[in-house]
Amino acid sequence: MKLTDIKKVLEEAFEKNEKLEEKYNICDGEKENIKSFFFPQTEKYLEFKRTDKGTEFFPVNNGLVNDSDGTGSDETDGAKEKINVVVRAKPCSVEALEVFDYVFLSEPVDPLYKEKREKTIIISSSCRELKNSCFCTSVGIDPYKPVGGDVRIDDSTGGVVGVTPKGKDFLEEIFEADESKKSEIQKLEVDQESDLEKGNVKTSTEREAEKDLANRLKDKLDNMQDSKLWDELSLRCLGCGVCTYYCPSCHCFDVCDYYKKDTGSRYRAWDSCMFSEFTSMAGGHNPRPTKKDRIKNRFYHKFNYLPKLYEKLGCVGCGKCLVHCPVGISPLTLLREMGEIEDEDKSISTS
Amino acid sequence: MPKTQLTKDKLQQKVKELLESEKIEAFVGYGEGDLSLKKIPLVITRPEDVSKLTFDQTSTPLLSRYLLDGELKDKKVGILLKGCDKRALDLFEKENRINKENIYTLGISCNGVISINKMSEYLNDPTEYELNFDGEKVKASSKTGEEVEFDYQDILSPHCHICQSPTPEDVDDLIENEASEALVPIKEDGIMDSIIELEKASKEEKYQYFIESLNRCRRCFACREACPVCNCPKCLFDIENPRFLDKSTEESAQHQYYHILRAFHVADRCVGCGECERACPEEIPFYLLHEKIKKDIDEMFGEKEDALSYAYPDDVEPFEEGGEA
Ligand code: SF4
Ligand code: SF4
Ligand code: SF4
Ligand code: SF4
Ligand code: SF4
Repeated sequence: MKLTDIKKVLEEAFEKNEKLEEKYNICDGEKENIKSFFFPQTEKYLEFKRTDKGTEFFPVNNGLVNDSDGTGSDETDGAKEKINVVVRAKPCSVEALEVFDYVFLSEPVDPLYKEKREKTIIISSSCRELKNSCFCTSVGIDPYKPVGGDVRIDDSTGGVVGVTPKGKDFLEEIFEADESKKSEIQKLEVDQESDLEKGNVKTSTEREAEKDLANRLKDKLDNMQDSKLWDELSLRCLGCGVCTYYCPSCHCFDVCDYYKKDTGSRYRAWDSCMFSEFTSMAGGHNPRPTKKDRIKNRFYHKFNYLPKLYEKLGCVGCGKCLVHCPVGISPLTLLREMGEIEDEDKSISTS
Repeated sequence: MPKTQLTKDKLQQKVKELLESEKIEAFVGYGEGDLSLKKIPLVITRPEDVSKLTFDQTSTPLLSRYLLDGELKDKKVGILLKGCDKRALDLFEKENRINKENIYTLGISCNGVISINKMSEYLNDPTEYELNFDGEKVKASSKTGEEVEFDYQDILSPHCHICQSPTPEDVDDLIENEASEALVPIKEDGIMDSIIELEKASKEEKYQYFIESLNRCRRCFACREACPVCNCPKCLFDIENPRFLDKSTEESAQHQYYHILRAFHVADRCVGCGECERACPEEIPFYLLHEKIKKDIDEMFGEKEDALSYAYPDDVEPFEEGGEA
């Protein structure tokens, strides 16, 4: 059994046990952007209806208000009631949740996020093969040592451990239902020699390194307001939403109303700082009118504002933006121009 | 010497001359990106930077759109153009969006480009592979030592199969691509096989097919932004008051609205570059809508030479006062 087989082991356990099957829902953290489990692209707050009596409002099943009279939403989707178990959550995406927690769980707490976050069980595991697009180690993240998660599959300590009370209870519940799973899970073993052991990658095992980097980049960026780099990047950037929508740590959203005739709803939906209307205000003023303002803001948010606020970078080096950006822009470009990565050939600086 | 190297040498030499003789102030071409499967648009201004220029079957992004606005607009610029990119530039010229006087067009005979989305039909994670082009064959090898061989055709962008002029016409100078010995037998009727297939399906099947794929749409607008001819200064979908497109991604009807409307807005002007298909992270075959409309126009009204309508800079903004929305 390989470490990565945790999904299979759990699926078997659930299959054999109806109670578990009904209670849990397995989600694949490698296939899906894990932010969407806590922060779906669209989330409804309420619905409204114009009647003879005036406008009536119906809160939607967000766990805040009990919509017991059934007049509001009819979406009582079974799967939504289940507890999501996110397996194969990678160290990078789990790190990115720290940004989310910082934003959504600091006062004022976001109840929609909190509810989902508390309900979900995250099984984080070491990541053993770095992809061509990964650069987590360049932003101080150790792919072999997942931080966070309720259950952790950790190469460096070995085996599968419950970390949070929720995670421990979950493991206990599985073992109680199926004794054989205990030995199976304990026997999960390192399946291959990792890039680390092969010497293909250097990694910082100390979290301090990330703090140092965050501070260093923050200081450098303080003096890069007028850099030509922003001209070069904004010239190339197309202004789509790919880099932000696929990023595990981007979290901006828009609150919108939508209505047809006499019914409508208020919801929130992902937004992207790269869209031209992102900061446009009532009355039409837009403090970030150009693409240059916008791309600069995106990088400053990740590498300057967030480090200033809590000594962490807003990028976990997952490389999703690099893979999906139609014109190959990613934080690597920035890190290179800032002298953090050496690769003359790929430098875009023309000055 | 590999043929791509020969092509690259010729390209670099030519651009060096152009910059040194001050015929141009800047050159727009392709450079190496952080992923080997994607060349990136690169603007250079100094002769000593020509070594950064490159070109091969992974030079996918369209360059012409960079001349439309921003700092390149009023400069003397040289630009590398594949057939489709030249077709886009021609359209911009007709629409008065560019000043042809300022532009030096360096064409390159093209033998198609790959689509990473196509590759993912065969490989789990295409960007994990390096490609080695050898005539009609392509070898993909991963750093774990895995090797897969393809026919170049299999991973070619769907639009390149039907491209009628991969070698750009009427350019100031043309670079013969050493690697292009007609690797791609072009379908002369210009109709994608998948359109023929789709036409055979029943109404319900077609509906199902589009609904299922369009529902994956994230509304990231990469398809719109990457398209050279989707270049209205203010897009209908960005207008806020009134909002024409709901931001929610839950309603299927809104996905249809976006894609069908975009299809109607671009189909007649589409230059068939395929960048929209390559840009979509969800691999949605929305471009079949455009292709079908194109085919219908040709069948019903006779083969069209040109876009059916043009937009001019002094057109009244239809969504503003005085316009007719
Ligand atoms: S994905 Fe790339 S092109 Fe699109 S907005 Fe982001 S940086 Fe710009
Ligand atoms: S900015 Fe890019 S690399 Fe960094 S976390 Fe976001 S998607 Fe990943
Ligand atoms: S459509 Fe394809 S084959 Fe035709 S010029 Fe463009 S890239 Fe080349
Ligand atoms: S619609 Fe697609 S194929 Fe046509 S011009 Fe635009 S990007 Fe190219
Ligand atoms: S690129 Fe794909 S996912 Fe993005 S808006 Fe277009 S069709 Fe939707």
